[in-house]
Amino acid sequence: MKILKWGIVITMLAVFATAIIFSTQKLSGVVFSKDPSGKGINVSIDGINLREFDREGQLSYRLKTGKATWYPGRSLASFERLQLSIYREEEKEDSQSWEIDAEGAEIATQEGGNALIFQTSNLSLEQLLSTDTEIRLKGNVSLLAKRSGKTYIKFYGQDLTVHPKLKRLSTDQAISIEFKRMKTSAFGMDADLIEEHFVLFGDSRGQVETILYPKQRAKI
Amino acid sequence: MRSLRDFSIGLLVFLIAPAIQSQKIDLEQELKIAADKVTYKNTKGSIVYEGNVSLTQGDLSFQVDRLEAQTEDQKISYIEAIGSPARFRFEDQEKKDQAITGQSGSIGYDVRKKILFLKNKVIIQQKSGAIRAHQIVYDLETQEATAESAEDAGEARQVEVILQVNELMDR
Repeated sequence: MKILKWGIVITMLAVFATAIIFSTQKLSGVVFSKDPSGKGINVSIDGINLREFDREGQLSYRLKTGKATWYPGRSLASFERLQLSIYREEEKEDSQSWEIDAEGAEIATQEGGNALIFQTSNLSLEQLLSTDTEIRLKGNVSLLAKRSGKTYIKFYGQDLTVHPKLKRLSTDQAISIEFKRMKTSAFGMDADLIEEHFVLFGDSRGQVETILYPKQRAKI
Repeated sequence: MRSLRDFSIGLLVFLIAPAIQSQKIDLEQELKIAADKVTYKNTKGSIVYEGNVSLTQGDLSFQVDRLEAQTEDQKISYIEAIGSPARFRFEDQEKKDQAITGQSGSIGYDVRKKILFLKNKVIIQQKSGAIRAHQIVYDLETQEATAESAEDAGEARQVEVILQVNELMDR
């Protein structure tokens, strides 16, 4: 009976402390808020500016975002104004560096994952982007793929889904590609950047159109 | 047969060459291709356009069902287009009444050598007449055309030339 009594007291104290913490709107630049769905507590921070290095000390990732929010109840993280650079050693066969710029982005997180693991000091891009994570880029998006420091293909569009590990891109919105001496516009795309195999679609809004420029007007 | 064939070829050159000479195709202009679906296979060096495909370059235009472009050294080296039929048109904007139109089962274009290959039930039409043949090869630089007949199932099909005499007399 005594143990039960103390158990109840401790539990109530823990609940009371949690209520105080989560009812506070701001705590050291981190904002906690209840998810409108009632599922979990969301965590927001003003922005991220992160550089990550590999074991040899070479820069491998750079991430800069506006407001970042984690929704553990929905297994989702969202970012305002995302700029992500992925650097790869040139010696590797499939080495491609990417530069991504988007008005916003969403990343699906592990189901039921602890949102606090995404605190800046604990964020591992290598870990995140080496899994089957897809990044849904929102709004106006640009993605530049580079080899040997030179851009060899550019993508511009709306709402582009990116799979960094598999080097795949897809969209069902307007997309424009500059590749070699061609500029192509379409309304849907599936692209495999390792195989360099792209399929582009037209729809009711229009066809796929390619313009091949004469030699003196090479774009890339 | 051979003399008639040679005569037909001569007439073809007579018909087409002056018209095309006055409509020199600017192959340095940008090339536009539109289609319902496009597939790039860079490892194979090919680009395939499918569905309501149209190609325009200056005064030259194609309307086909499918077009495949082969690339070498980042340039398109050969284009193969098929249609039911594949249609093409040369038209100088200042001389629209001298437009050359045509159709065939397939159109091949060697971009580097600047040679057109029209194959399978080829018809070329202009105000001054028409040519029907199994295959026509046209060199865009030398402006020489060669028409060939076909033998199918034992039935010889000659090159056929139709002349509009009034139009020829007006030249």
